[in-house]
Amino acid sequence: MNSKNTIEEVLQSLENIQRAEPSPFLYTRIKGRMIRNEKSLLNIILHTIITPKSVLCITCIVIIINGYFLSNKIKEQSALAEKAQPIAVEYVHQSLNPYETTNDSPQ
Amino acid sequence: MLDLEFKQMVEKELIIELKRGDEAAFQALVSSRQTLVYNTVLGFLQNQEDAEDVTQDIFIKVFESIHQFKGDSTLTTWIYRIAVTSSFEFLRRKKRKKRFGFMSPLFGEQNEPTIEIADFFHPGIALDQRENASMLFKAIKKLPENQQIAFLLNKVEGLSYQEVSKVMNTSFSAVESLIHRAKINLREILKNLYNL
Repeated sequence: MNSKNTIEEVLQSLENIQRAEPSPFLYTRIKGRMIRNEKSLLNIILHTIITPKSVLCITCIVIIINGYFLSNKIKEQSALAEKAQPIAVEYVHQSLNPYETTNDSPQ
Repeated sequence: MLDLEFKQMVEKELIIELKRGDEAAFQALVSSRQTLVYNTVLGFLQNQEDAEDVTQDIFIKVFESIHQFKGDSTLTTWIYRIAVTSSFEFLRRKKRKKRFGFMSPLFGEQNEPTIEIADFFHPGIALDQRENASMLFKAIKKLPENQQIAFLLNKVEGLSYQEVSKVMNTSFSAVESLIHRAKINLREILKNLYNL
């Protein structure tokens, strides 16, 4: 009986509840927050970008991209060099020939 | 009757001015609805600082999304809906923050302490009822969301079942049943809290 009464008492404790009042400066604070939100849009973007974590991440990404392009360039160059090799050999061979013929020709 | 018509006319004017982005209209809206919003939020969050913060957010949200208000309900009902949704969003965010709190040292975030204040004393409660009300608020937090909304809007905000049904976008009988179930559950929770 007693426990039932306690619970009913607790359940009725909100019966005469009065309204709580917010801070008297609520409107000023809302306006301030609105102005801050407008101003800080760029700041938020900058702040999310410029943090030690993000700088490290961006540096890593740049290094990886650089590495990728560099390795591609090296591959391209070596492929080009391989292609150019026979031409170069042939060119050198041809360009050397006149001397050889002059040298070889008996005087 | 005339009073109601006048109120509706004033509300219509207010909405038009708000849609135009009029600052005076916004100030009028804040001063006429600040107690309503703050009290609703306070009931759900049970923390005065958080309630003040979320109240500010709600008014900014109302101002920014007034163009989406179609007039299917009254402006007050619409604001109540935003207040309820924002309160639960805030609570979910707080819970998430607490759940992943162990990760914050890894990322070096300086968040506010997530330790929950054990007892909430509503400033509108008489001194002799403070302890009981604090216990009741603790029990309310353990209710399912729908029951919490119905119970708090009815008992703390003093809305009628009809008004609660409009805010919750549900039927009168559904609200009746929600409050009935809330009371049954509260009795059980209180029994456990008091070890009875």
